[in-house]
Amino acid sequence: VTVRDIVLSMGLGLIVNETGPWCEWLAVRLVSWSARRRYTDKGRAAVRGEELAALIKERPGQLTKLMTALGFATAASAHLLATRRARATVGVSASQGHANANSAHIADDTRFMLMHSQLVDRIPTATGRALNYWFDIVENGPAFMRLEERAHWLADSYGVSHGYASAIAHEHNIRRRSDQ
Amino acid sequence: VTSPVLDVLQVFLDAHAERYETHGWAIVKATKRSGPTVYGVLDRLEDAGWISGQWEDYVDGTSRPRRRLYRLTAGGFPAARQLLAERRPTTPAVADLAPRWQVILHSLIPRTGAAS
Repeated sequence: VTVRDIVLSMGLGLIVNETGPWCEWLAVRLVSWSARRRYTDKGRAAVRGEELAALIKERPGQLTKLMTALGFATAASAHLLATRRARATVGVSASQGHANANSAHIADDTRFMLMHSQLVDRIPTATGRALNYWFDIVENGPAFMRLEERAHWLADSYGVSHGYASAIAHEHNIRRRSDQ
Repeated sequence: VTSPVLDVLQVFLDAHAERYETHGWAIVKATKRSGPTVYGVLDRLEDAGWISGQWEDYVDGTSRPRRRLYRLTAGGFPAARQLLAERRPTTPAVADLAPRWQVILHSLIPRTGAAS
């Protein structure tokens, strides 16, 4: 261990110590930015923003906070790039571009959707009503609700369990999108 | 279904068996997956209605910001169990995971909501 090493380690320690609060501030800003970029659904962006900021504050060590935040920011940027690329490839409007990126995501996840369809298949038995009955209720229910809100509304108003209520809302959304 | 999805679902099934709700960072630690990966899975599971999340109740005497707690929904539980049984039939029983969970449990809030 040379004098240079000692001075260097003391210097580094000082830098990390001094930049500590600033690191956390930057990390929180980064994850909030990531959430706003990552989610087009404003409600979800707000929830994830607060959730990730809390996560950053719980992380021990200033550099860990920053590295964690950078991970989320990188993922959000990659997602943005993929969305833009999908939009550029098809050369359509922004909203359609986003819908296409979404459908690409759904296509990647066909097996996951298969499990969703198994859940949908059980709806008539579990709720005692056909799927179309529930779709009519959704269509005649309050408009302009987000998917999650619609599921809560179905569960609260009609006594459907939350899992099936979500599956109904989700399936309705998928079919409406494919009809367009 | 990707392997991170199965990992996350396994954590949810274990949490369900032990009757507590879990939060994002606990899942990150338990699965040893990256934060963005885990939250990507949580997005999809929430959209599909397999899990639901709610903010934890304010706890007196802690300066810690509130966490968002997740659990399997009534429809999500059988679906997750079926999926895991199909894809990972050799998954060890919950009892075999106990030592790992004892460590993780320290960082978890006891289940506050009623089972529904």
